[in-house]
Amino acid sequence: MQSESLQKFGFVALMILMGLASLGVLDGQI
Amino acid sequence: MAKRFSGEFSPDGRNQPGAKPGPLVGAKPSRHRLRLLILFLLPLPLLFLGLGKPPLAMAVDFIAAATLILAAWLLQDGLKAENAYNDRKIARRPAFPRKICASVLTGIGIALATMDVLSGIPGAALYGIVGGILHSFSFGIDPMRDKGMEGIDTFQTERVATALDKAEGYLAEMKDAALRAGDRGVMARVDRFQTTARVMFRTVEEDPRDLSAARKFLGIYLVAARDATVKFADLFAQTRDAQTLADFDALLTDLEASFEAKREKLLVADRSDLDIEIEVLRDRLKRDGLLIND
Repeated sequence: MQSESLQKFGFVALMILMGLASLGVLDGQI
Repeated sequence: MAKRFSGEFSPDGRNQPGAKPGPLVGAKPSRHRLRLLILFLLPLPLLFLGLGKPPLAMAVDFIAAATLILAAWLLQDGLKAENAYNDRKIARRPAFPRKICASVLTGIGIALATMDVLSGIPGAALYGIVGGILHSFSFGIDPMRDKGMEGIDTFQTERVATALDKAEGYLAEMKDAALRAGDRGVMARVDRFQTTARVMFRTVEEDPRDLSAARKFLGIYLVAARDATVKFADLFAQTRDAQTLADFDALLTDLEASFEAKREKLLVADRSDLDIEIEVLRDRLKRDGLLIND
């Protein structure tokens, strides 16, 4: 069972990652 | 004119003495709805930004968006299945692990979305992996084990599950037909009947041996109720006849009463099973001289 805060953190991070990815900010980075 | 949706103090409101509880009593709100919406919306910029790119990059962006949206859709189904799993006392694990697939697809989608040139693949893969892991953190994975199946004949449970699936299908068709009547009161009435039927479903589910006794209720009666609803809805939509409505209401009330009665009978049968078990054990203890105060 995962705690609520871990879920929340995971989702916010995922949201940011997906947002940046779909806006093309991360294209060709790293 | 606008109508207020069945307020507490409306003429047909729920505030009357002896009124049955509404159809949503005991139902849990579905979680994660906002999050799901966000997941559906986030890939959309890919579609617009992709348009300004060279063909290959555009295709990759479109595929990425499609993958991400597919993942969100799978997740939606997965969450629905998980809710159903949590609601039931006896449940099998899902045949197709939708949430895990959604995590994997999200990873692939993010990797595709961040991929720019071929040399960028390792970086994109890394983003994809991080995305997949974050996804499974925030939504969890599917329930992977059967629940409450100890000491239960799998064959029997399978039969119950099939019968209940069919019965749920009849209920869904009934609701669909009731929609056609275009009347809020009818919808509410049918919902209430369905709640009663579902209480019975749960009883059968908890003790699969009840299935053969309840089969008539899960089949014939529900089919008849559905057919009656179809005919009623068509007629009522045209005529709005109060007598028809009253007849239909009376039919559902009768059915409800018989469902309730049957359910109680099933519980009594369980009770007598238990009594027999206790009796046998007591006799045995007495015979072995272990029961002192008798």
